[in-house]
Amino acid sequence: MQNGEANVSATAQTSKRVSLLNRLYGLNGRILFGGALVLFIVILAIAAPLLATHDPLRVRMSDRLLPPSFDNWLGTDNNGRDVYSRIVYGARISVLVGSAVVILSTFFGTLIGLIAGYYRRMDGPMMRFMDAVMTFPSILLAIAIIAALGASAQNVIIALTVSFVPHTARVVRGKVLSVREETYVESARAIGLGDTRIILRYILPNTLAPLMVQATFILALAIIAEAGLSYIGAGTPPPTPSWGNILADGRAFLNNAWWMTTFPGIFIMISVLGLNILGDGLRDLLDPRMENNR
Amino acid sequence: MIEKGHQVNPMGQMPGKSGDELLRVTGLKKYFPITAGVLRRVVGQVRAVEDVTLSIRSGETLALVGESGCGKSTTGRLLLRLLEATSGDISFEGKDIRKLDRRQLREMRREMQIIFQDPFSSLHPRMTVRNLIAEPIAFHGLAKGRSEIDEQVDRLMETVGLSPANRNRYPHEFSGGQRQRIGIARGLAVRPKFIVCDEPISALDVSIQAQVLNLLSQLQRDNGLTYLFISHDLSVVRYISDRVAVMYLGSIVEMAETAKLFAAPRHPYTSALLSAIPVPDPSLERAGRVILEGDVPSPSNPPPGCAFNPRCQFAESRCRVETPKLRPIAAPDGTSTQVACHFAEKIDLKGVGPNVPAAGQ
Repeated sequence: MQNGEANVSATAQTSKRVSLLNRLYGLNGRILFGGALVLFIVILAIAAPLLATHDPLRVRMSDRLLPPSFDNWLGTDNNGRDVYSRIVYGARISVLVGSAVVILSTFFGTLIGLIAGYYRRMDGPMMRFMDAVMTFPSILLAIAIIAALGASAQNVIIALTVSFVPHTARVVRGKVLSVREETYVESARAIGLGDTRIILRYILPNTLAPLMVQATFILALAIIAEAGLSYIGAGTPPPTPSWGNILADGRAFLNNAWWMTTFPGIFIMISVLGLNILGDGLRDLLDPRMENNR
Repeated sequence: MIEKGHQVNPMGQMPGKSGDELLRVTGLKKYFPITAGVLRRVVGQVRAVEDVTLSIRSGETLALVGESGCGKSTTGRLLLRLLEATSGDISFEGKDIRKLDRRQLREMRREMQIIFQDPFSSLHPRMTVRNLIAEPIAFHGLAKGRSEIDEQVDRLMETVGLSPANRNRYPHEFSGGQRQRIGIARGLAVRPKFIVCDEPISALDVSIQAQVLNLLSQLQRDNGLTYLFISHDLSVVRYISDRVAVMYLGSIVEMAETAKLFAAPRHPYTSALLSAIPVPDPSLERAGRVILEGDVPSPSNPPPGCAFNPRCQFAESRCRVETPKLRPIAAPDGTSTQVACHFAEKIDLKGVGPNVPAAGQ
């Protein structure tokens, strides 16, 4: 027994080092690539005033619909505004709306999911209500809310939060339902721990991994939804640039100014792709069982 | 030894011999509702535990045996109120467990603990050994400050045969036997009097079973612990327990001292269980083995009368009508055992001789 334990301790020391290396290899792959794309967009948003070459709001009718050139990297739009600068500033709206929606929907969704999953009596009423919200396509629900509240970044955040909360709540509730039946939760009860401690110490940590993954996907969905809402005029009101309303402006000039639609589209794609790759990588990294198999 | 003030046995008695009654269970029942439809209408009940009455004396080991699904684990959880009983009384040192409020129940958790069957699922995978063992100590305020808690954690780890140097490891870095030792240390951390051992060794490798079994006996001797030992392994039960209660379909059918139960069972089901113990010697093939026909009836639809009657070779018409109560009957040597069978005095049953091995011997 003693000998065996000594052996185990030696191998565990090395295995700890190995697993750290493995984690870095995992990071090198999808997390680093996805993370780099996301970071790129975030830097764009934060450093917009430094990165922009022109004032995104300055109208110059003499320069309208210029193709990409040395002066206007990504061309100009129908009002002669620099598309590149508008996209850089538009990243601010996307990142702001996206992260606010993620933070709010994660918070409320986790709260609802924990309560519904842990207290079985609350499960029926709360989740049926969530289901009812979920039956509306999120864009339609958001349009309805914005129609009632008016179009602004703040209302877009509220509308998207409402439509994404049920998704987070479902993920959390599902995890809680499986974790609460684990024997180690019963062992916590046998020790005498109260519900709050069990939820915070035993159940919440187990929901973090799926929550992180879910958060990256919601961020991606929120960016698309914000762009979509702005595109149909229910999002960021002009002239403030947002990827959605830049796209919308370009729609009328698809035949003679391809750059007005292509470039904001590419930026939307980069951010969503980066987030999805990051989410996939995180899911694998955060599942502790994967660590042993690698 | 966990704690100096924690004496072996207040009366200096040998543990395992009759002490004062520690736990008494009367008419314990647990029915799980079967629901159907969107409105969760109750359409039936699974009678997991049907009228269990037993008492456990301080310092002894009472084994609860029976096949899977007979309600033995449910009974163990009812005693600790990890499940709420449907009806019945559970009295621990004179206190009615079922009437405790939340705060009193938390106090009671210090007296009664449980060791789980599966050491792979009973430890929080994201907590270190140190935190797993320290949690009950800190929660119940059994030590002040980090250093005092760490000291107790180290002592507990040594007590259960783990090296304190491993305190910052996670459960998945340990083997099954070591994990079970962690679980035992966690249970011991609150210095309980009574421990429900819910099949504590059946998930372990055979080579490790004896070690953990011996550890449990050692801890019982050193700390005057009382065990309810739930198991389906009769050779283990024979080795560790003072008395045995045999369960069938939620009820106790026989309860007797271990040696007596093995040598002279009084209930046909007990006899059938005993004859199923494997003997590792083909030349000792026993004559007249009792092979049970059919399956255990569903606990949601138990047969009328004696629950065992459809499979009992001695069953008569009375058994199909009247449910036998657990009653004391006199043994040849003047002591009594408890049996729930109408014909316990009349039928002649086979026990097992000393040639059937007991684990650990």
